[in-house]
Amino acid sequence: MTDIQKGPFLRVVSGGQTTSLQDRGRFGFQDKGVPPSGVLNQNAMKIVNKLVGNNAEEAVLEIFLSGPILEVNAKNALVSLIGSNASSIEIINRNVKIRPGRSINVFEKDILKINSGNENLISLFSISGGFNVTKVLGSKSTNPSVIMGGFKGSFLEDNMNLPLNNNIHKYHESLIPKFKSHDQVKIFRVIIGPHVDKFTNDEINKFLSTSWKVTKDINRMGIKLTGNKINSIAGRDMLSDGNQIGSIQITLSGEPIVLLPDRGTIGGYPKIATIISSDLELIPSLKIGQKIRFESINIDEAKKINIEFERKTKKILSSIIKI
Amino acid sequence: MKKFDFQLAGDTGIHFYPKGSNKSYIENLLSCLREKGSKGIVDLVPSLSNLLVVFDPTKITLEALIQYVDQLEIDDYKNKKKYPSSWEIPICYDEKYGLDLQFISDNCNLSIGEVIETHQKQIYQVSMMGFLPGLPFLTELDSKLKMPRRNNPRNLVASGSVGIAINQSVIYPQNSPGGWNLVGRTPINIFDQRKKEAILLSIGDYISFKKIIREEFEDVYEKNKISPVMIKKINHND
Repeated sequence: MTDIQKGPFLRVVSGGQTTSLQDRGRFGFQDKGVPPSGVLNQNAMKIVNKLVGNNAEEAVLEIFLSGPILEVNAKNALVSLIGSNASSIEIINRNVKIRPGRSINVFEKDILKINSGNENLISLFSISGGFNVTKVLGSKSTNPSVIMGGFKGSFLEDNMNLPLNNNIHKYHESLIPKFKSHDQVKIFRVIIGPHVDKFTNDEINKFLSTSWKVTKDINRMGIKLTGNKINSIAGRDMLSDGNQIGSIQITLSGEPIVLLPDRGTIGGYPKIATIISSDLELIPSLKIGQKIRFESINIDEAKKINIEFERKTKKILSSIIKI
Repeated sequence: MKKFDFQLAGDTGIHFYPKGSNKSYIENLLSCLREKGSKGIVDLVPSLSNLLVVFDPTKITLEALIQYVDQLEIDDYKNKKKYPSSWEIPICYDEKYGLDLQFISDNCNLSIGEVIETHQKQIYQVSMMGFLPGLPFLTELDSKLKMPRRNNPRNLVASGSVGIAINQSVIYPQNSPGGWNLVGRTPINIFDQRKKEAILLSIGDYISFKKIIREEFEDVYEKNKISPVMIKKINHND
């Protein structure tokens, strides 16, 4: 990109695998075919924003697998990262490295290398003041598959300039004293359905008793799993219907795909079960090749789990201290 | 007795299905929820089968949402309100844009002129949107043009292309891969994310196509200038 940048910006030295700008997502337009996009781990977004003094819902960089290298073109800003315990922000020119769950001041021409560490699926990077991009349909979230939002609808590419909001104050660095990323999740809680009538009980039991492997066929639209074949009694002529986030569709080959934020709004495959909302927040800690299982729970149990998850998030948010 | 059946999509989604053969239920419920809204409803995803309501359980419980939907007086709701609108959309059926006109003509045993006339004279309704942001599925295509999608989808279909398959017609809102049989192309943008009203159409809207010649298409397209007569919107309540 050759645009002349007027305000402060980050220059992308290397884009990483697939890094994109995301906020909560784009809601209220699914009836017109617009996928919601947004981050999976909304609570982690609140935390990483608080560490740099941002409003909880400011857009952040979502680092999918390997991270980018960024050059600071601003007088001063605070940056922070939430990812696996092994993730880090490295300030290459100053030989400084910080762990996830804290923030650090960066200055003009600093070179930041974001290490996602341990091949965790997703890490989140925040910068004080946030990114200066125009909202599309109420959100800064990027959906590259339909070229919408973010930085011209695209993943980060080499030599792109990422415009920042003005950032000239002196900031206090902060940290979470006992930061620990989520343990590797092995069991995801689901509510069976919506298409209960398209699967026999035997097939549902097979789905719940199988140890599924996370394949490398994985992106912001969905995660393909392998390990068994699930048969459905839905024909090829099943009417398409709304795709809920976390719903697990069974393709014609019998393998499950977990639907993620950039999924199409509607789809014609039967959906056997849906991951509960607080467990969606744990998807970022997945690794390619790991095994997972699904456990069926009811809506009341889901409510209790959500309340506990919210309580933990609040506890982390209130533990943040200035340093 | 509730007026609907439902299935859960996790703890933040519920699919409402019409009971029996009440086909207009989904559209009525969509219009009603869109007009009245409810605290805690995040998104509405209609399809030909059901209406998926995405909600925020910290703002409305599942029980309260079901009860709310159950007490709504939704019969004939779609006809009471400002929905639907009618649109006249210009289309150029030149073979430069209608890349499959010959194929459709062979397949349906009609002349190219008859294919064009059959597609153009129909008044369509937007029955569903999806696949791409702002892509309308238009029903009902004349059964004389009924044919499956292409065996080999194209890697690139130009924005504005109009295609047909089975009993529907579609308009591509942006450049995209696609498998529909192409009859023509409109020079107007039905999706423009720079605009506040980024998506022109809504479910339930009526569409008719106005035939334009290639010179008109290119004039509009190249100058990116759409004169007011190029697209007409008629609100039924006006």
